[in-house]
This record gives sequence, structure tokens and C-alpha cells, in this order.
Amino acid sequence: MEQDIQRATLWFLTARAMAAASGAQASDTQPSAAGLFAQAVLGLSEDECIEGKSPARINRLSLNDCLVGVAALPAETQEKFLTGALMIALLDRRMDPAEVRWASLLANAMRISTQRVEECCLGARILTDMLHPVTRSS
Amino acid sequence: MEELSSNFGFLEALDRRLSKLGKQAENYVHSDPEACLFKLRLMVEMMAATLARVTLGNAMPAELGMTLGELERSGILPRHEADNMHAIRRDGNSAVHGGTAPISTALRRLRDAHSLSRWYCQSLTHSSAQPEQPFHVPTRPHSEIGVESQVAAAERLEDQIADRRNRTREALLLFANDSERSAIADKYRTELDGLDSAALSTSEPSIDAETMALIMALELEQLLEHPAFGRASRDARREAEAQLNAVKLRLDEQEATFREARERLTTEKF
Repeated sequence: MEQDIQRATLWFLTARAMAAASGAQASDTQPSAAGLFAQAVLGLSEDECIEGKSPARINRLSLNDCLVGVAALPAETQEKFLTGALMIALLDRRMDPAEVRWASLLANAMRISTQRVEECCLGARILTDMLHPVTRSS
Repeated sequence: MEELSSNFGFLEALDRRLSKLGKQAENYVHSDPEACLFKLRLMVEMMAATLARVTLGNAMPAELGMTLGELERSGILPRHEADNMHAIRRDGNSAVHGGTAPISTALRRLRDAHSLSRWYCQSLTHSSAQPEQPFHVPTRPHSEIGVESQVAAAERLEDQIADRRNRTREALLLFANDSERSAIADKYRTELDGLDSAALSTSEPSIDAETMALIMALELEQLLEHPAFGRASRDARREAEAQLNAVKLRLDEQEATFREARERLTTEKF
């Protein structure tokens, strides 16, 4: 349980940083995708998600802590994290330079191969289409 | 049926059909809670359709839940109003499909619809001058022995359901509220700038922006048939479908338990 809560904290920190990189407006666009991803893909429970993003846990960590944390994750979980972070970035159907930079920082910290990064991008695109199927001009 | 003094009279000037549905819902709330919920769901559907037409143009999804999601993502529907609309949608769906509901359920959704109507008027008229419209609980036609204890039990159940739905919602959200989002996003943006500076001096970015742009530019069907990305895309879609469906199924099961609890309550002897 505690390990899963820590994973939840790390995931929501990763996702929040991506939302911050998107800018204030973009972070408004999909409030529930991060939690849905946590439960559907990372297999976390509602309780673990709520506890994981409690201020007492998440607010004491910096983004540097986040990079150290994701670097220590198993490879399979790392790829899920990167896929999810890219999904958050792609929800508005575009990727801003700041979002590319945060995704790159994550990928570098994970020491993930270019091919795996590409697969994560594909996975993110698929998820984006499933969560947000309406094509918008933005 | 004779119409009572309505909580929805103020809608008359903006949309007579909505006002009428609100009045009908009020009239049914004690005698036929399921009909009340059905009318309220229609109200929400009409509100959502109008908001979508005005703001999203032709890009309106066919299904109400998706329309609400799209309105919320577009920043048109605030979280509180979205929660109220979803609650009416879910309970209205249940009523349409034969589910029974205690009067308390219908009363709560009626109150939600009243609050929504005020917000809706303000949004469409771009006016914050809409006077406060207090909600008046429609008078119960007559009292029966045991009704009070049943109402109390129904209220407790509705509180539990509301708590459970709030918890589900809380688990899904990235930020707890707007002020938290704003404060945290500022903090992270500052940290990101610092990390960027350090990263730029040491390594090249690993994410190829051009590949990302290509993947985003392709239609999904093109992506699934793409010679380089096709197989991985199809695998990813199958896996994602299974994962998201599992969560959807769990949420559906949760709603089903609410329906069952309400049905038990309505058939229980007090």
C-alpha cells in the first residue's frame, strides 16, 4: 500500500509538472485524465490516488525529486509514466516547447531508448484519442 | 396536473421549454420521483445542447456525458456545475432505465437543477446581476405514517452516495481546486525553468518534436495503418481499451450499487 501511494505521489507530481508546462489555460482542459490514467494504466486505487496527492506528501517534493524518483522506477513503470506525461501534454492536440522539455527531462532521467520513447508517444496519442475523441481546431 | 408555485419561473424569460420542464419536475418530485428525474435529465440535456451549440459549434458529441466532458474541458462548464449535471444525468439515466428512486434523490437533483438554472441564465446572458433565487422545497401533498423515518434513511443514503461520488471525482482530479492549481503551477514553472537551464548545458532533448508532430498530424486510422507505427499503435489501442474499460466497468458497478441501495430503501417497510 505505502509503495503504491508513493507511486501515486510520483505520478501526480509528474503529471502536474506537465500541466504546469502546458501553461495555466491548458491545465484547465482535462482535469480527470491524470486520475483515470493512474487507475486504468498504473493500477492505483482511488484511495491511493487521493492519499498520494495529499499536500503533506506531494508538496514536499521538488521536480528534481521527481526526476530522481522516476529514475529509480522499474523500466515498465517508467514507460507508463512517460506515456502518461505525454498524454497530458497532448490533450490539447499540440505540444508546446516547455512540454517537450519536461518530457525530455523525464526520458533522460529514465535513460529510455529513442525507440521506446517513440512507442510512448504512440501510446499517448492513442490514449488522448480515447479520452478526448472530439477533434477541435485548437 | 395542477402546477405549483415554481422554483423555475425565472427561466421563463430565457427559455420557456426549460422553465416548463423544471415546473413539471417539481410537480412530480413527491408523486413520481423517477418522472421528476427524467424531466431534470431532459433539462440538463437541453442546457448542454445549447451551451455546446453556442460555444463548440458543430463539434458536439452525440452522447450527453461526452458533451458535458467537452464543455468542462473547454472551460465553459465549471467543476461544481459539471458535478451537478453529471449527478442529474446519472440519476436520470437510472430512472429512464427502470430504476426506482426515493423522493430524497429527486429532491436533491431538483435542488441541483435549480442552482444550475441560475448559473445557466448568468452564463447565457453574461450577467452576474441575476438575483439570488432561494430554493423552496415543494410541499409534500400529505404525510403518511413512517414517511419521516424513510426520509431520514433516504437522506443518509443520499449523503453516502454524494460522499462516494465526490471521492471518485477527487481521485481523478490533477489538482484539488483552482487556487491549488494556480499556486502549484507557478511553483513548478519556476522549477522547470531551472531544470531546463541545467539540462540545456548538458544534453540534447530526447523527445523528437518532429516525430511528435507527425504522430499528432496523422488521423488515428492513418496511424493504425502506418507502416512504421501501425502495429505498435494497434497494440497500444487494444491495451488502452481494456484498461479504460476496466475502470469504466468499476464506476458503472459503483453506480449500480447506488441504484440497488435506493431500490431497497423504497421497498423497505418503515
